[in-house]
Amino acid sequence: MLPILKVAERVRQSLPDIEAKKRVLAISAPTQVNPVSVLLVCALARASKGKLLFLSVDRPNETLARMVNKHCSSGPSILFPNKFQDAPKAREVSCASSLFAPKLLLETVGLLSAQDAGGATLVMGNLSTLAFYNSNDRIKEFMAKLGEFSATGSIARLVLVMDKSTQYLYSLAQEFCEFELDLSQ
Amino acid sequence: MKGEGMTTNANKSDPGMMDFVRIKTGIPGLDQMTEGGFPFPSTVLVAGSAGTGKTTFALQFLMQGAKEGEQCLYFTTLSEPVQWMLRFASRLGFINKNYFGKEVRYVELGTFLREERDPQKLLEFIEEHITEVMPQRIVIDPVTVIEELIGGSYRNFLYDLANRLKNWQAVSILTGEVLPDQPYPVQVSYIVDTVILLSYGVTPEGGRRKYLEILKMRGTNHTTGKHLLDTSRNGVSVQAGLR
Repeated sequence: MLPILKVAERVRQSLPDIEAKKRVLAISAPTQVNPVSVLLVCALARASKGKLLFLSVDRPNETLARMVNKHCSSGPSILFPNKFQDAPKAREVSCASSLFAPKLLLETVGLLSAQDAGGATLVMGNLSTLAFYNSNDRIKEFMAKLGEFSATGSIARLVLVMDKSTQYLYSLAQEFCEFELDLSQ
Repeated sequence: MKGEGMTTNANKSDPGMMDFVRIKTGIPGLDQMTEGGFPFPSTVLVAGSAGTGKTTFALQFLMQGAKEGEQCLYFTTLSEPVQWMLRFASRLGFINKNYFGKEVRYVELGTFLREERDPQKLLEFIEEHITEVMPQRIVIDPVTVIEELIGGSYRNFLYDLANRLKNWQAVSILTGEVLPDQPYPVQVSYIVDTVILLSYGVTPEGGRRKYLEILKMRGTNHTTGKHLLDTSRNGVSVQAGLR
């Protein structure tokens, strides 16, 4: 597993690639999904215009919001060493999570992204855990709906963060995304 | 991709079933008894009376994480400065002092607890540090001291603590101090996924031996019964099968 400082360095180096693609798959070590998701949210908060949505399958919004507030409001020093020059500008980050109910999660995404005419950026924090609570059919349906959001432009950029613990989900995500960034090793 | 310190217990009979990610415990012999280590994320109680090796167990667990490149957070509820703990710990062969302050952060809760006994503020204080570090491994050593300081609110505090810890992607070890005739702190055992008991036994010759027993580990086909626990400068190790 890469130490988190190395992961941050790789995220920094890959920012142009991430920003240039509409659908990005970020592979994290299973134990690093939290920090990797936050690094990506912070990096995109700096780079993108429009609203940023931070989604989680099974963690409360408060936990997500805490991490964002702590690490993104003034720029995480491990991601942007010179925070006076590189830190993300204050912008709206909306957090959403919904255990067992991908449909509800998608409705929330629909509502939040609809308010953003330019298209929102969405970071899905821990996609792998979807497989704990949902059948393969429901997961497939979920991914298809995400694809619709992306195709219609209501989601301008989509970043899926996951580990490789579920082969089915990993294959599905690989098909779905146009760029894969391996931050696990 | 899994790191060196992680395994999954692949379910060959049902390939669709989601496997647990497991992290190495850092205790020689224990991973072989637990399908490869602690489920990630999960909460663990390590209970025992004074001198059974709880803190050594917890430090080995953290050092293993640091070795794997993980971030670790050690909360002590005892009011002692970091150098005091490090002075004693430095005698242990497995301690790498280079990790302290970097991969392993030390937070002293004792002073905070004596000044501020509001359980909600204590939870906020703990969570603030977790948010800052986003650790993969957390230790609260020993959690049972908190009962003496917050009294009647302790049970609610434990429920809130467990719920909050479970929302973080980490393996959290709570150590529990018990009296020699008490096996484990029952209130803590309700809220955790794993209970490990460390205890003393008397040999026929009248000497003392230490034992480790896994009382429960959710989602794991673990070895049962008491197993000999060796203690040396190199830390603790389990002699699975030796009783």
